[in-house]
Amino acid sequence: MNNKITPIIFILFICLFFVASVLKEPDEISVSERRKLASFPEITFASVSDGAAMDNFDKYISDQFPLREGFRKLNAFFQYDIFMQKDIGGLYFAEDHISKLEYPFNTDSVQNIIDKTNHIYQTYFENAGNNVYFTIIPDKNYYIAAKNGYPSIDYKLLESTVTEGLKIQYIPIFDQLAAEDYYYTDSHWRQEKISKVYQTLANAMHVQPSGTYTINTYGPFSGVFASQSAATTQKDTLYYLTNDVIDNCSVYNFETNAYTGIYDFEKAEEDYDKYSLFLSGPAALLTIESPYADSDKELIIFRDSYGSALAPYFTQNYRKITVVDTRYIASDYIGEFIDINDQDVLFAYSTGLINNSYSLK
Amino acid sequence: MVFSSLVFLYYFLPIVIVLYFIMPRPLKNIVLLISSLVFYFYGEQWLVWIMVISTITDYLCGLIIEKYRKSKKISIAALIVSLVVNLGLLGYFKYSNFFVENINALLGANIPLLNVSLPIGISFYTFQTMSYTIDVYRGNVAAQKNFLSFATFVTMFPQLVAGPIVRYATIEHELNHRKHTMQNLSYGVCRFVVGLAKKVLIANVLGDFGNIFSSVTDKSILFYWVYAISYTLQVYFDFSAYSDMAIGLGKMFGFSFPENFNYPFISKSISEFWRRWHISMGTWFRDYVYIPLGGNRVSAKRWIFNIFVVWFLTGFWHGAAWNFIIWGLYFFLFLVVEKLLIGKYLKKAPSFFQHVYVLFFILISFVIFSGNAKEVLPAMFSVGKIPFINDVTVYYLKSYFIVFLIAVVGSTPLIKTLYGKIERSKAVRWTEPVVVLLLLIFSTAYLVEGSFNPFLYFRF
Repeated sequence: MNNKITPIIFILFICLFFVASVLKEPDEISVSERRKLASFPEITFASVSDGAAMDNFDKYISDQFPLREGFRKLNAFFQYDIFMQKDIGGLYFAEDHISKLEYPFNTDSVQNIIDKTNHIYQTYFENAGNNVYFTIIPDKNYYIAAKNGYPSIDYKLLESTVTEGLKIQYIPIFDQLAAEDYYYTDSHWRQEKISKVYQTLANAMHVQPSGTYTINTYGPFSGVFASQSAATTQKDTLYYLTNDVIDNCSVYNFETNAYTGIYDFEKAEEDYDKYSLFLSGPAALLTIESPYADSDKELIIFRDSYGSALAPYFTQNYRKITVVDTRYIASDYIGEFIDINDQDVLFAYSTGLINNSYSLK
Repeated sequence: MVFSSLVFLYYFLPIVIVLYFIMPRPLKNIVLLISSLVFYFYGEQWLVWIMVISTITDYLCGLIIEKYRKSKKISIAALIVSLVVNLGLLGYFKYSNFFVENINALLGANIPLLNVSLPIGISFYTFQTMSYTIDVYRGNVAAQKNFLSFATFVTMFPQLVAGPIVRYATIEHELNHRKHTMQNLSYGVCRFVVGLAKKVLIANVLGDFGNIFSSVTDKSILFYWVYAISYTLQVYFDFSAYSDMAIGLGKMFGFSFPENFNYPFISKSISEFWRRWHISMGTWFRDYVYIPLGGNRVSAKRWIFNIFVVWFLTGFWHGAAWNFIIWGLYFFLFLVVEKLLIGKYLKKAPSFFQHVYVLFFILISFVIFSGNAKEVLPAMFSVGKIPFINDVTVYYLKSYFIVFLIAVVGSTPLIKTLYGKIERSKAVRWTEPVVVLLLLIFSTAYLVEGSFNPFLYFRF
């Protein structure tokens, strides 16, 4: 190792990147990762004394490193193509999809969601005589993981555990979907592809599935998995459905105290996650008023993010739909916002949430 | 601060290198001292005072021992002060909670745990400074009169937090008379970048596999074995990488630190393994504990006791937990058995058998070391109770196959031997900088992505 070139290149390289790091204007956001980047830390005596300033400086350097995006891609190339790792941090590619391993089976989490759902049912609906249903929304790993050699949870076990644990009528929809019903770069399903799911649920809930829709294009959509993995620049196109019933709906958000339509174009424009187009994205409690619904019935949907694309279908059948996400509101407070009478009730949770349910309140 | 971080690689190191090489020779130690204190303060903040206390104590004790060499009482008192201060700091910050927990468990007491955090590298720098005062007391080295030089030795950031344990005698001359050559700089850069790549691209990825192992619920027997192998390789690559980086940085600044690893997995006996693994610690215990106890020039019983003490302390040095003590005593048993019973038969056994013997028992030792022995050891041998292999095992074996392969090959001298054969060729002249640059770039890419980056030997 007696080579003058090596130390010269090494020292030039680290000095060059030092200078570039210092001179580089910090970026506020990473578009590809859909997140805010760390800013230069506040330097105070207290923050230096307890090490917070150093921790934050480490994050700042990592986030603002020159050519960061290129290095991320290089790292993905190294791990996928040189080390030939089949997934990085659970992210894998199969059948044109990028997905994240849903593995292993989390027994405690499944029991947690059973307990929480039973608690809601017993608190609000058991004695009120409501028609209560639940369905399990499969994540796309159900359709692509095992057959491509990737580990996945035992979906049959998950389904049987939940159905045995809940005292509510179960509506199975696993066989109403396929891999192509999900976005390639995202975890979510495609609204225009789930009409069969809606029909299955509606029939089981004794309402007439109805409605014809226009399929609209919102624009390019880089899903959550594409943003987590630097290995792809693949993009989807985001679609949404409209018709007269949907167009005349109004959505009230209890947190913002504001009304929007079913599709929140303003939110989608400003949000990193374009899936926020549907019902303004994450929200604790919403009501959808549907003046042209074919009945005066009301529906309460307990849901996760998959419910945002599903709920608009039911505007055909229900005059008022209350959409609750108990990841953002404690179930014990629901009674303060909803008058429980004879609403139909649908619990619709994805397998991803069921297997990782500790965010439920 | 750790070497495998962006702040070290692209802020700290370029500033220190530039300052160091533009400063005139008399100021170079000041650059090293200040940068070392900044390096330590960045990670440990005010715990830097513990290191400063240790430094001042040993500096003064060294001077007193030398000045009053003829007065046995004073010099031995100074030596005792040095040992008490260093072992006291180590005992308080590293072991006090361990003792409190065990007293509580044994006596059913409820003594509250002390609110102390372990200063990084305390096990290394206290051993280094103790070796200094002991060597001065023994007359092996002269006391360092210049506080700046002594403080530079103790705090020197390249070897501060994870060794090798550099004795004062090793770099005494270099503290004030070291040479800076392009040859040293070149070797140092290569060694540092190879260490960085070993840490970031191999050890961290193996650590990632360890995390997966912890999360997987349906494990097979093979999965447990692969985990044991992976963890053993991770410890080796993690620790030897840190030593490589330390030795490389030392060379850049003109110091020759001792080698700490010499391909331990090719050993043919456990005794040989310990001559190749963490060499600087092994020789420290040999010179400052084993030999003063009488070494092997004593009765068999006394020799066994001496070995017991050394390996109890070796285990305990690695961490304040019972698994480390058991790990040390496990080696005590093997070394005694090899010496008294099977050593001569082992030497005559086929080479293949010797390697299998060492690798098997070393593997078991690192399962103990990992702290997962209760779960992993029985499962490794639970034939018929859990499947030998399953789909999950096959998946992760395939996914990590390349890194396992590189780690296994990299833990043997094969690459070094091949490199030795072509080192002087013209092609190497041009490929070496390219390889070094690529390793640096790939390591940087891994760090920029903010991937898994622990340091196993960090708290020892």
